[in-house]
Amino acid sequence: MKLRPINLKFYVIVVGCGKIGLELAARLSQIGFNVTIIDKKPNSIQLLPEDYGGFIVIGDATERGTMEQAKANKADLLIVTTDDDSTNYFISMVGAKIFGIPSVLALVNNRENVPLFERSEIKVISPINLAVETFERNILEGIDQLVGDIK
Amino acid sequence: MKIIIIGGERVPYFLAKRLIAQGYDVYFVNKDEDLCEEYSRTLSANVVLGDGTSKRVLDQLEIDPKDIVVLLTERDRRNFFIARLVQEYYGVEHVVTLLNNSENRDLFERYGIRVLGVTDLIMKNIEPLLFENEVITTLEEETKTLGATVLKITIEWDSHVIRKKIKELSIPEDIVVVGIMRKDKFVIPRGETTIEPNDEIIVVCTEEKSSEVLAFFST
Repeated sequence: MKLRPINLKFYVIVVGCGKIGLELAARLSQIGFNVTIIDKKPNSIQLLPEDYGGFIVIGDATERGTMEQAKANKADLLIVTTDDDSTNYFISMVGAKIFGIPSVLALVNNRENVPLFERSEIKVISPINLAVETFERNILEGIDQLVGDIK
Repeated sequence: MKIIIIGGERVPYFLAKRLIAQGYDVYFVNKDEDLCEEYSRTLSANVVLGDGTSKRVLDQLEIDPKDIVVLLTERDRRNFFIARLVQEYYGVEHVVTLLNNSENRDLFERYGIRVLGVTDLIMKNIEPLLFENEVITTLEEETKTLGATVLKITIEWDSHVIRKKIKELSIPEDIVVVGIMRKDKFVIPRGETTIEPNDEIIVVCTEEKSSEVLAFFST
């Protein structure tokens, strides 16, 4: 996929340099956003592509000092992508309530936790829900076509 | 009303023991199988083996808004997560949690969660000891080579300095009062600070003045 470069002074913090965080941070910085990625393991950071143009903070994002280092008070968007929901929830809430980040998106690994995040005004990305919805859409489109063909 | 204790190891045991003795209904949630087995063997409490951050586990407790939830896991983020779960899903009013990292206090308090700041408590208790050790032991060695002395003097009831402000004392030259240990507090003295009976004052002075210091403060 070719990405159209734009130049927005929009500042995004991505927490967690796993498969999703890594890809996301790389893409966002390629698009032209100001990006900082936070992860506590230096090894994970090494997996970032060489042309990643954003900042890197190595540290535990559940600690205030790490968030301060990433200039969380200046962020327009916080994206939290670790594989632990209580960690994601905690970092999201600190970001939103303590650092006042206007928009927070969190990965919710366990589907049953989705309502808690939503009630706390955190936007949710749930891989299972996304997959199910995508399957559903594909199946329904297939059926539409079939029905269309029969007509 | 029941009391639900989530996480922890020894504290929940002794806490439950006392609560049960007072006639309360105690429930444990813990993911450690051996601990759960021990709790159910030795205490007449209800034990749920499982992860307290899982709603499915909490659902087994039939939590009521009037129940009290005590959170004792070693991670603030887990305690926070469970606290918010029981508030949002079961409308629990009273949540008490262990606070490991003091800087998270504001977030918990924002949601009306009571915190027990263990780190703060321990720090408050060892701080006077640290001060004493540092000033008396380490500094003593270091300053001696440079011709200075650090002294700790207990102010008796009959000393003339009692109830006087430091600036009124006309303390001799080359003598400085740098700290006052008062009960469990460490006071940083200013001119306006008044000296009280049983204060332990810490004085820095040149070595030759040390006997003068003793005479000055103790008579």
